[in-house]
Amino acid sequence: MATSSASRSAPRAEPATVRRWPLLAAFAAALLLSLLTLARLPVRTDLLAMLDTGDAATRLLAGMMARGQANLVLAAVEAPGQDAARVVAGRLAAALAQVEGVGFATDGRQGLDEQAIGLLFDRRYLLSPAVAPDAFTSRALRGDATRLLDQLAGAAAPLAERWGLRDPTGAFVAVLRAWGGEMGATLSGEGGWVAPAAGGGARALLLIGLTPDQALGGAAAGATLERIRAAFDQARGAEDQRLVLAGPATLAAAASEAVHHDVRLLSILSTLAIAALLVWRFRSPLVLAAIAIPVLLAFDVAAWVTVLRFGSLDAIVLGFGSTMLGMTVDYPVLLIGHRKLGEPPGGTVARIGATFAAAVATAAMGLGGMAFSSIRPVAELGTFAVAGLVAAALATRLLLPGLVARCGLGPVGAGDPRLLRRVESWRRLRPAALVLLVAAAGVIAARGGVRLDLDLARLAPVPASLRAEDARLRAALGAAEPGDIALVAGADPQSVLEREERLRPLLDELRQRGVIGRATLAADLVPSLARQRAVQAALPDAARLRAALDQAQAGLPFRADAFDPFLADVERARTAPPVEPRDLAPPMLAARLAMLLVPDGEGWAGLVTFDRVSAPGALARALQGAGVSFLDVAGATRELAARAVANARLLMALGGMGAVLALLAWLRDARRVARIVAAVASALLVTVAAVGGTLSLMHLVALQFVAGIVVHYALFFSRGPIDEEERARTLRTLATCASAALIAFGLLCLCRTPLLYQLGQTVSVGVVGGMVFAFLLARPTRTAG
Amino acid sequence: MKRACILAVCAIWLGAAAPTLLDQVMAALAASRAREVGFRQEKHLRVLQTPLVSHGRLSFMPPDRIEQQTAMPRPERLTIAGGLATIQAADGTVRSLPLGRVPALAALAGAIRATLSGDAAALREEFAVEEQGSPATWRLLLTPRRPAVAAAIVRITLDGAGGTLRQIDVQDTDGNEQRITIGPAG
Repeated sequence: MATSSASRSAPRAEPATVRRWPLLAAFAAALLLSLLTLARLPVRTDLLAMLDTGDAATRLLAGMMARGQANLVLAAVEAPGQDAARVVAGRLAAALAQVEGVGFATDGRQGLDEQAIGLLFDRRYLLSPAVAPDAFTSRALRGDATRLLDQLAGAAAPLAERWGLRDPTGAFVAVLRAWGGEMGATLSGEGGWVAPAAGGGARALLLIGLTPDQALGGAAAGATLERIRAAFDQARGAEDQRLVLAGPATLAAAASEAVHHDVRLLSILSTLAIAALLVWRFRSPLVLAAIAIPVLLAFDVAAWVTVLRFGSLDAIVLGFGSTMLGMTVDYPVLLIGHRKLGEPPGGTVARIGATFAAAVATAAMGLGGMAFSSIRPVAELGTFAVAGLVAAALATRLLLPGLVARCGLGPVGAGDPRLLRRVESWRRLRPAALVLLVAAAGVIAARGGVRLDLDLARLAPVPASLRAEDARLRAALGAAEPGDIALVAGADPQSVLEREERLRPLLDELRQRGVIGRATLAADLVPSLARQRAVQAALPDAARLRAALDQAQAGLPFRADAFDPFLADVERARTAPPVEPRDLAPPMLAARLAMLLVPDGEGWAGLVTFDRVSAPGALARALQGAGVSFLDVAGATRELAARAVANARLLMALGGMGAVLALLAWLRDARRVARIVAAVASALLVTVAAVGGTLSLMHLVALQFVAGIVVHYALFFSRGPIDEEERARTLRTLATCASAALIAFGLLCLCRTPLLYQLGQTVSVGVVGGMVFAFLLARPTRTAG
Repeated sequence: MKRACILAVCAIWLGAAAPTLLDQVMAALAASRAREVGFRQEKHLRVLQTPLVSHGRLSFMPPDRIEQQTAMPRPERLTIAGGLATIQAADGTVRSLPLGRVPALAALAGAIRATLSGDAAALREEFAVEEQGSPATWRLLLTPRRPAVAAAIVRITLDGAGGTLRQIDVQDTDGNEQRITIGPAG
């Protein structure tokens, strides 16, 4: 009773002159620093860079995928009938050509534009993979002329009239076939890409490329997608027609939209709720500034130390790391919560300093192991977390006590000791904790133990329904998955093309054996100069061709001059300079070639893509024999992710052991350490059981966070010997810490984004479980009185 | 108010003006609702010494689908719809190409489509139309308006009697001539 009344009269003990500006100035400085950090931090956003192993092929591939696919939108017009769907898709494709932010749009009927067609036709004899010397014999030409006559009489006459007379051997058809299989899609009977819709109707598919500045989602891509939807509303004829959008650009935009939507509302709600809690608890809005200082500084230091060590920081690491640093909010709350009113700066530190230092050392040991990982994202995460923890601790220990004392911040009273005794009497419920633990272990065992879910795609904050839609449209369009790719390296484009030409027979053989489907390579689109010169040498001269033609035409109703344009074209091809890749300037051609032939460091690389790989092992062996590296990208990605997680798990386990050793060294009290470890282990067990036993990468990060804060709770609950007043202060401070965490992370459970939901769920359960087990198991070893 | 006045004036002017021959012909064609007809085609190509002859059935399915079912010299089906020409051979093989790549075919399809559905406005949009004869025996001379089409086709001539289209002549810029004679379906 005496302590209680003493503490209630305490406000009068505060210094008469409360000076707020040092605290506010420090807060402003920390805030400014953080804004600068956010603006200047070199953040990488490519998921694949996360798996960067220093392997040149992987790096090249990551860049290729980022460039080639990120701005792609897959769209489908859905209607009850195929005709209606196709008509609207055609109208939409035409309308989209004028829409800002859209680079190209095709429903499979537009094909190559006139500029591209013109160039390919002019250079057909040099570009065509089908020009063989025996195509110009009188016998072959006789067959061609007969076929042409047949075509002129039939429905294909317009084509035969436009192209056939100038190209009886069909060189252009072969060129078009090589270039035309753009997306490997099959044309429906009447053109356009069509597929059945899920609900029984039909879908006409479109492929839309956003302009390069729109890649990787963001607000610009979102606005363009809105314009695409508006164009559809104009193009559609009836209410029962629907537009479905998917593809990387759509997924990225949806992801950023989902996260923004979730985060905007929730961050406002949780900030308000936490602010209200803290202001109510400490009776001053200044406490918010005081708590923000070490947390903001922790973020700044963590980010820059990581960048200093690695040169840049992955966006996912930044997100995970910032989440882990959430545990540093406890530091200032523990300091301010334990302050007696009117106490000089050194007073609080003297009482809780040892426990506080133990908490920081434990967390730093626990997370520090990851900093030494050989896998870069794991090492980045470890570095980020440890740097942040140490920075927050130093700021709380060195900077905050003075600032807090000058403002007179602190809890109004320690609390009613009768309430404390009642609460402490609940510790006799300890056996119930055992029941809870057995139940949790039972749940995990019933689900077949703890499993890890390593699918990196699940890290993308995209609703599952949209991902499924994307997969369906991809399958329908035959759009190449960023899947299996072979790399042909060379010093310059020509040497790459020559090597690809030597590879061609092997690929054809593998296709016949069913190892792969169709292979696409740059040399099919533009043969090497050497190959073109060989073709030129084999082309017949005008006199020989004329003689062969005359013989071929005999008895057919063609006039003598019918094939003069053909003769002229062949003669021109014989002497024309061969086509180099850079001559294929029309955008549609250049864009396609740029996907297959790319500069790589000092040299060049040719990418060979396969529409299907049935036997990756056989393909890899065959290619290796030919000196070509083969990347099973999906497999490599899985393997690298698994390696990263295994590595992180090992280091976490080592870190856990390190943390226990740190506790033992610091506290020199094995029983207390055992109780703390028991509390942390119990909290983690219950949390894992509650989230269902299958852990994603997000769960692992959230569990680290939980372990960190439960150490705080257990360390402070197990302090002794301390008097009732201090115990009451601890109970109320820890309750404040836990409530703030519960508000912040509990609200995340309302998120639609799977990632944020997982985080919220895990931490909420962990905080409640941690508070309960720390209270029950980590009681003081030597209580005073 | 102003808009209403203009509309009223237009309505009076339209009402007062005598319908053109084209409008009368088109009204008759629209009324006849001939959606499927027989055809005989004769092509005189500059590169060939002899004409090419074929025949079969021609049909139109609103809104934009035209089917040419050839019976002779070999069965084949040409479908024009949604900006695409598709050829289906007797053996089932299908080939498609964008109409934009064959402007001559696009123009002919447009003329047939507009005529068989009696759509004078669509015809005027694509062609400069010169009218000859009377509603009983008429001739429409179509000159393409679009440069891309004009580069391929000089003129399309439609001959008919009342609500019936009798003959289509196409003269292209290469000096080729094509005559489609239309008769009853069958």
